[in-house]
Amino acid sequence: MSETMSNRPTGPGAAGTVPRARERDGGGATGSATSLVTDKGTTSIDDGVVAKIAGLAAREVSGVYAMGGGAARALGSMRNIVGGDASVAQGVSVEVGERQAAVDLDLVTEYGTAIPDLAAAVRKNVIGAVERMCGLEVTEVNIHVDDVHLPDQDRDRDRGRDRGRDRGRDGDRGHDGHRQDAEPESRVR
Amino acid sequence: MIADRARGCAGVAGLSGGPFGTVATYLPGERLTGVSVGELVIEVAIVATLARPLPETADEVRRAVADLAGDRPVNVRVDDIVV
Repeated sequence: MSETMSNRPTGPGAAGTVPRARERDGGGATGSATSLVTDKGTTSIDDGVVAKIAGLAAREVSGVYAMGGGAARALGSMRNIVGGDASVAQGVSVEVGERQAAVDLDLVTEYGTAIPDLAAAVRKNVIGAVERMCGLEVTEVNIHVDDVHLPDQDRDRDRGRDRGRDRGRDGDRGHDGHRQDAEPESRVR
Repeated sequence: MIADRARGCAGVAGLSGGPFGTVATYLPGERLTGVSVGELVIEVAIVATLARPLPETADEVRRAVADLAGDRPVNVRVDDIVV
């Protein structure tokens, strides 16, 4: 296994800096079965790919209600209204090196979950998914819990959605728009 | 040729042109996006599926085109995944 870093082809240049620095600290911990750098060519996995995989893995854990900071969620719901698909990579930022990756997550948890336990579960699932699917060693998963989703917001939210869909028919529900301080996306419409 | 073989691999949803469509071979009459054959190196940019680990997919692509590539290294780039 050649450890040369210079023959890196067209990977994301600036994004590789931080994991590479860590790689030097980490030493020879990269003994994975399928190496991304072979003598017959390299495999480079785009940041967006790692972000999607990490996002999917984080969403799988029950107790994760949504992902992304306030602005990202507002933008995501706007896109949803316009007709686009919600991005699975929302709330995920990754730094990918040649062999290692670091993941930062923004979560909204459901009320009633023990956040440290949830964070541990998310971390475990994300590390498992990224290491298995991408063959990258995950150096760290930083989880930022952005908000807690309260159960009664769900009804408000659904009502808000209905209103968004068939607006014009029911104008009588306009009064519930003020209690949703924590849910900016409901206020988009 | 290379593009067809790469597309035939399990776990490959399609070929990708890279961020600006730069990974391409310019042939007379057509432009083959996703495969760039250079003097020293061959580059294949794929869109993968999540059915199997990405390194496995990449290795299969590399094996599939190995005989066409000769002794040139084949760099496989996973540009996107289909969820």
